[in-house]
Amino acid sequence: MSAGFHKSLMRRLADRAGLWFCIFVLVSPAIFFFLWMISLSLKTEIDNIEWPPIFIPPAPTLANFVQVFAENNFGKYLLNSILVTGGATLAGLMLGIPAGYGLAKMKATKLAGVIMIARMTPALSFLIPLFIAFQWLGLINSIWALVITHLVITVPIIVWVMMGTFEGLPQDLEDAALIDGATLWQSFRLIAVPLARPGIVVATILSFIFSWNNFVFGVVLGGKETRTLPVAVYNVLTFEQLAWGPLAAAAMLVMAPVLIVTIIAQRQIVVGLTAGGLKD
Amino acid sequence: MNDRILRPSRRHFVGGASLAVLGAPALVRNAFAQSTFNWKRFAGETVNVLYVKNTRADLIMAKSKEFEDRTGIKVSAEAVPEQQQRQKALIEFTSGKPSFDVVALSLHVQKRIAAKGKWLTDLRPMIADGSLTSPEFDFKDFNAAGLTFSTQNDGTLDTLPKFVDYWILYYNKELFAQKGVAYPKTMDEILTAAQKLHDPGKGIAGFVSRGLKNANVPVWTSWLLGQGMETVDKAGNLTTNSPEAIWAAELYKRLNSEVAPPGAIGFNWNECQSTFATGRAAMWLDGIGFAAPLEDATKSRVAGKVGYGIVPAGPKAHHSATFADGMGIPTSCTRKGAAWLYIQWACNKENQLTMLKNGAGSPARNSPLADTETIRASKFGKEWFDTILGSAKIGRPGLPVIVPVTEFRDIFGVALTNMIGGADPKAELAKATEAFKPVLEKSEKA
Repeated sequence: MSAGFHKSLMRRLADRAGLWFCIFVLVSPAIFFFLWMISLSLKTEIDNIEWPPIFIPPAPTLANFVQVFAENNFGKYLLNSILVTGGATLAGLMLGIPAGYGLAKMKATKLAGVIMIARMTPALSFLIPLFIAFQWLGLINSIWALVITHLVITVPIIVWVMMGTFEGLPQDLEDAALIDGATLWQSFRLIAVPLARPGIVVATILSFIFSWNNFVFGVVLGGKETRTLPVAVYNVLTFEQLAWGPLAAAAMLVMAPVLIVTIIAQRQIVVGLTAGGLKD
Repeated sequence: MNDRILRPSRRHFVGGASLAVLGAPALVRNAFAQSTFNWKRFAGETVNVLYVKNTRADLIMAKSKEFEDRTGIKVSAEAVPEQQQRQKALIEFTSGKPSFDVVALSLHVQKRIAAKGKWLTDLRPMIADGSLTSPEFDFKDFNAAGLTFSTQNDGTLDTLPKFVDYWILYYNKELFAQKGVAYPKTMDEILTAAQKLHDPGKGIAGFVSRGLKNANVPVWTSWLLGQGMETVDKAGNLTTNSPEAIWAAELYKRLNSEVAPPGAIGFNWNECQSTFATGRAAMWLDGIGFAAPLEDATKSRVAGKVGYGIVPAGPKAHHSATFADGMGIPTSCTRKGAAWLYIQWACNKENQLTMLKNGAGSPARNSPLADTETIRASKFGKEWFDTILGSAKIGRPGLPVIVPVTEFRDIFGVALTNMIGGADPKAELAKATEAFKPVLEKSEKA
């Protein structure tokens, strides 16, 4: 009896160990380069190019972070990024949610495909026409130009995620509302949108991340005053000079808001999934 | 007028001292200033400048205030990393109305495309105009290598050269002394020396240079210059599958595989620099602008041990592959006067000397190199300056002067990378030449 219990305990432990091993193997590529970046950002330049590489900083330093803040107007770039990404995501949601609803109700898959083209076309091909258009409108080097351009990124993602969400909602709930005398607009606003909250959250996060990370638009259409964070980070790189430490430090600072948004929003997704009237 | 009285600039003080404050600054400036040249002519305007992000740009941008004080022109300069800057310049020029008034171009890449697209203003009339060009400017001070890069086929000078980059051979004096190896005199000797210095057991490579596609092409063309040849001849024909080109490719292959550090196939300048700076390579072939980080003990383990040498002679000729940056004014620019004053200032003797003093690269003017005081006081040592002077005498373009330079570098870069991986140089060059020929022909026709 005791031997059998012991055996099953061993077996359970082995299962556990196996599971953790698999988790380690699967997750380590993602985690490790993150840890490596933290290590880089805390080391001096000479330790960063040491061979064999040093992982744990022998003399941890915050000098890289200090340098990033001293040499760049990071606060301004952060504000620019928030305005551009925030603006493009908000505008994208205002356009994308009704559009996704309409497309889902009309089952207009072909039209949805057209929107998808915007997502598939290389970003560079938008640049010349957009540049000329903004010049004509006098918007070059303004935040507005970047917000409008980033709609190319946010709108297709939002429309597609929302379309999927609205298609998955039970039609019965809306039918019930319509029978009770609601208008189509009311049924959209009061029934469909609240039910689609988890979808909206997902769409917001995705468009936020894509827009936040966008680089090309910021380089070409943004100027010195409207530089966004990814562009600012890249500017830490200088030809003929190595600067892994400051680069890693700057990259950490850029990543932080996205990480925070994702962590906060992850909760929202779970809440959204457990509440609501979607349980069959 | 009031403004000038309340806040006189340094120049006023230099020129007219207290009289300037007493109330006749304009008159005093004209009477007492070093020259009668009017720097304030375009006061109140703004010039937008687009630089490539590098030490040279950082240095000049840090001094913007000096120009603003002297001219009353506001400077709005930004520096963007090289690849993105080229993309940005291309897109803005294509639109017909770029947002900048002054742009820094890599002439070894963008010279022909700038001429074909009529991107830039001819600077010669402005240089000749005494009301626009200060007598201190001294155009004759610019060296031949820089002016050759800046002058187009039809004689237009559409950029002012700022920086001429010579490729040199960096070597680790300590490793050379340990093995009793002398600095190679010929390209073949580079290989034999590297074989003696190569010590994989200790993690030391005999030679390191760029292996990454596109970036690696100037290494190969450096060897080809040793045959007295460039990749495109005067008639515009490709020489890339000639026996000489194959010889150069074979040398490239052997140096980058037999005596190279592991993983050299993926190296760009930064990986090469790390390898050399940590003392893991005995020789490194690249541009002259790396002295500053190599001699900085917080970034390099070889500070004080670096030797600088002119690229050794090849079988038939002795040249140093040369590259250059220049500054130009877009054709559509509406503030050409102010823009020209800016370029004049950015490339003046003092700023070119600052660039040299900081080890940020070799100037396009001759006078800084004649400044013996600088050479004596510099931490880079006489050898570095001698290498610049020696290379300047034998400089020759390291890349073909054609429109599709990027495509050229991509196609031949892949061929060279394949060779490091084991492919046959002759077959690879034949294939690459075949692939590139139509691209070149099309670019000349269009």
